[in-house]
Amino acid sequence: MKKIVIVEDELAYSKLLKDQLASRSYEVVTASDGEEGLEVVKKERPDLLLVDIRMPKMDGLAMLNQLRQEEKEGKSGQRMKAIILTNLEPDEAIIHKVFDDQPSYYFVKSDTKLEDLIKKIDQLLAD
Amino acid sequence: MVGKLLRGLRSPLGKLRLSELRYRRLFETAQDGILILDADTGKIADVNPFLKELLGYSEAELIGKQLWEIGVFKDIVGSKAAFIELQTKGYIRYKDLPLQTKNGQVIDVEFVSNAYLVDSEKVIQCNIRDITNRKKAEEAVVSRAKELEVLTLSQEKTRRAMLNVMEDLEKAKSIIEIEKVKDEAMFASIGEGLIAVNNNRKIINVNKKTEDLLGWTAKELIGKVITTLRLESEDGQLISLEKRPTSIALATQETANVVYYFVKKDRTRFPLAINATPIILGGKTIGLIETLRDITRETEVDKAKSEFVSLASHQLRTPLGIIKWYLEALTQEKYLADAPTQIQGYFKEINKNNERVLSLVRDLLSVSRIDQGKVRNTPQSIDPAQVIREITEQLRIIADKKGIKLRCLISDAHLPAITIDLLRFHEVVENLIINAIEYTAAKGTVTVVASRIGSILSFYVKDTGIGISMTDQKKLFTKFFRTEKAVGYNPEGSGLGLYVVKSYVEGWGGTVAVNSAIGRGSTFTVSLPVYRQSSLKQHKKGGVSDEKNSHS
Repeated sequence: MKKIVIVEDELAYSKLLKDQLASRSYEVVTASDGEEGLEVVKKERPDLLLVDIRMPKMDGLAMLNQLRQEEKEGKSGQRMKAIILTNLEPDEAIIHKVFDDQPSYYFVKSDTKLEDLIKKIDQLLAD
Repeated sequence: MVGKLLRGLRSPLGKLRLSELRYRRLFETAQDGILILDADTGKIADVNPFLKELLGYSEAELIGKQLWEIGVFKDIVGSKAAFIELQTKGYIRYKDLPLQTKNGQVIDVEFVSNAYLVDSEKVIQCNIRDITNRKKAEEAVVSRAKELEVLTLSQEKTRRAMLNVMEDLEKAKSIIEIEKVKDEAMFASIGEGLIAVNNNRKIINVNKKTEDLLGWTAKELIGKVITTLRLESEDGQLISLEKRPTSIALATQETANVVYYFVKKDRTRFPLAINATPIILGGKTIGLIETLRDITRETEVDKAKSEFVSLASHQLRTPLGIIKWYLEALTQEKYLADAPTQIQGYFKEINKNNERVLSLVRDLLSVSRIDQGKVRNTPQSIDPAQVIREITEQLRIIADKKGIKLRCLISDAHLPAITIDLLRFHEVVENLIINAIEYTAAKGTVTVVASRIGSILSFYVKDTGIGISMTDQKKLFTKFFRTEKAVGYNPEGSGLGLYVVKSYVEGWGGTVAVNSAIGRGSTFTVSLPVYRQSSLKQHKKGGVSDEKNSHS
């Protein structure tokens, strides 16, 4: 069973996503800020990370940056697949920096259909 | 002997001899040239030493020759005629006659000839006086007289000019005085802070407003270097001398506009917009005028604006996005899929209106960014044909629902790659096609075409819709503008879409145009320079490399 970690401070979002993804037989663990997210990711070692940008304590970009840094230093093994889910439109340059050479998956929640997001997740985890 | 001689001399014959002797002496010593000619032949019978010397010929060269034979006279025909005249009249005089000497020099002479009888023989005596010096003197006198005349004239002119200058100076002085008083009054009373600085960066003058604004008195500032006034960046770093507007304007001879924080004596600070304009006189900067404006309020408004943008972006989008996804999840539930059509209709209505608010928020965000000059622009090489085709496919569902035929007549072969911000480009194309579908009735057609002419890429969105009057076309691209017909036809539009389209397209150096008439459909044309974006960034050769890279 593939494992997904959702890092999202807005509980309405994480609850819905968890329900929808669990019903498609994914194992889902949630965290509600960047700091907690890092801990959960290290503990759970998911196949995919869904992360919001604006969150208390540590925002999603900072969290991803740290994760990538640790991956480079070899602490966390392989590069983790990630999707950014946000309602902001941050500078694309920052997104590119976070994703480095890997293609970026970046969705503005209110502009995206739930159906399209789930398709993308299925596709990423099917590989 | 002597007595005999005297006696002999007193005799008539002796008298004659005496006279001849005198004449001979005169002839030999005269300081005029004397020439004796045979009256019949014109041949030279005698010549005195002075003339020989004057003309440079020897006696042998002269005696027995006619004057014009020797070459003394230039005008031979004239000389012959003159000789004939002399023979008949017995007298001729030339006040000024040029003669040529043996060595070719021309001398001006006065030439007087008389014919008389000597021992019943007719003889002509010519007296030739060198008048070169006299002529020179005369000429000198004439030229001096002329010079004097000129001098007098110019003196008069100079005098008049001086008078004029003095008069002008008087006038200018009074004008300057008036202007100075005016300037001083303006300087003192103007609503913005003004500082006059010389080219050594020293403060020459400040107005009242500056004193109020900066908390320094004119007395404290005048004569001080401009750096006496501390400027900081937003994060509190001191602005170095060369980065100050004063130095920039002095160095470039152009107006410098900057915004820095001014630090008052009590260490409090506020944002200050400074405009430094150099005063250039004869190509040299002699100083500059700096205008100062406290922009605390503008900064606050700007901050409030971006805070609002952030609020709108996050706070509005979050709940709307949650509603969107929950609605979507709900309508996919089995029991709802089997619910009565009426209930399904209610859900659709909720969803439609939620999308409407989301779309409005999106437009407002775009407008807010445009107005703040903060439009995000991350150019990347794209294949416009592919992007337009994709958008058309996405929008086909909406067109189908309305019973409108949507055609995309773009084959990718002839379209070049363009380097552009993909998201903004997407927004422009989508906006135009959605508009076309929205304002076209069932059974109508929306056609998307593209072409490339030279370095311009154009795409056209053509509909068979309600059309736009000429009057409305003029206002069509302004913020919030909607035609009356459009409001009646589709009350949901925000009137922002075309404003956004125009702002983006013009930002890329392109144009957007409309061709339409009421009831006869509309065609919107967007034209974009193909190479512009890449030439602004790192200069790639033409767009060829872009084209190769873009096809994915």
